[in-house]
Amino acid sequence: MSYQQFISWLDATALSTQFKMTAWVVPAFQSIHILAIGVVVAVAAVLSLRLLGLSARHVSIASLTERLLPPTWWALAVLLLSGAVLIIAEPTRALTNRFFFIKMICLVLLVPLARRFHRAVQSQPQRWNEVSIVSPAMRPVVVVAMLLVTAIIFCGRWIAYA
Amino acid sequence: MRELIQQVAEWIGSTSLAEGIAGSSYLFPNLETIHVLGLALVIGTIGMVDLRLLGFASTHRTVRDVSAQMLPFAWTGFAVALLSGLAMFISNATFYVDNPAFQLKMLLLVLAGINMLVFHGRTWRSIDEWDSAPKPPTAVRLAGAVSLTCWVVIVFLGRWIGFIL
Repeated sequence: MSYQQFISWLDATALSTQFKMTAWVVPAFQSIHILAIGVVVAVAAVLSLRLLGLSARHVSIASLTERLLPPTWWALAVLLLSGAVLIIAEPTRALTNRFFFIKMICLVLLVPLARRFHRAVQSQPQRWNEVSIVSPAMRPVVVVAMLLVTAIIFCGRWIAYA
Repeated sequence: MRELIQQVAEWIGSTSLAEGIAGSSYLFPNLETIHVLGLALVIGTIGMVDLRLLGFASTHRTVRDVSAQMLPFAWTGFAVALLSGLAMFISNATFYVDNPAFQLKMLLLVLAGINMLVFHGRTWRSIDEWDSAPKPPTAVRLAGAVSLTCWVVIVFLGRWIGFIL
């Protein structure tokens, strides 16, 4: 099955047809998608500024990470599921869109980055409890993560215009 | 009143600023994106404060501490969302003032504002009594519930504006 055939097949499935016939599906799942983006953006902003030492230096990085990242993984699950609904509802719109692909590339880069960070903190909580500012070597990583989050949101909105 | 709002909206639409935004093919999507970034920051950080007020999360931290850390983010996000929202409104004011989703969204923003004023003006006075309480008193939890509900509905209504044409 070629990629084009897959899109045509998905487009013709009963589920896709059902979603297309129900007017509220797309706006409702877009709204849910945005709410979950809210969790990711807020966590990314709060955690990044803390890691850069620009906000809440008295709060331990280890405890902040442990409080913020687990709900973010749940938000990611909501994003993937609501995103899947939106793809099924409009397969051609999403799957032939260059912004969709750039978004997916950014996502594939961001998730392992966040996972590695989460693991690093979990493996040495003592060390991350003591530092008030992370090492300068960590700063570019934080900035890259923030840029990826921003790029993902830009691409997500631009899917509607390409 | 309705007439007046219509006339003001028509005048806004005729300004060169409105025509500039409406006439550009890349400006509006970028404004939407900036709006999403701003409101995401608002809902995410306000949500954390609301969940603390409700006693659902961060219960081992004081309400003061959570608020002090999160509210600067929320206000930054609000300023970004307000300015980008205003620019989008200007580009098509007559459409927005007639849009029921937009009208309801503005009503809920006012409600969220009143809830915040009552909370910080009255409820907050007794904060010393419940600052570190894992489950704050009813008035505090109510403020959290109203705020969270308002912002979630605001996000839904915001998305719905574009689907009512």
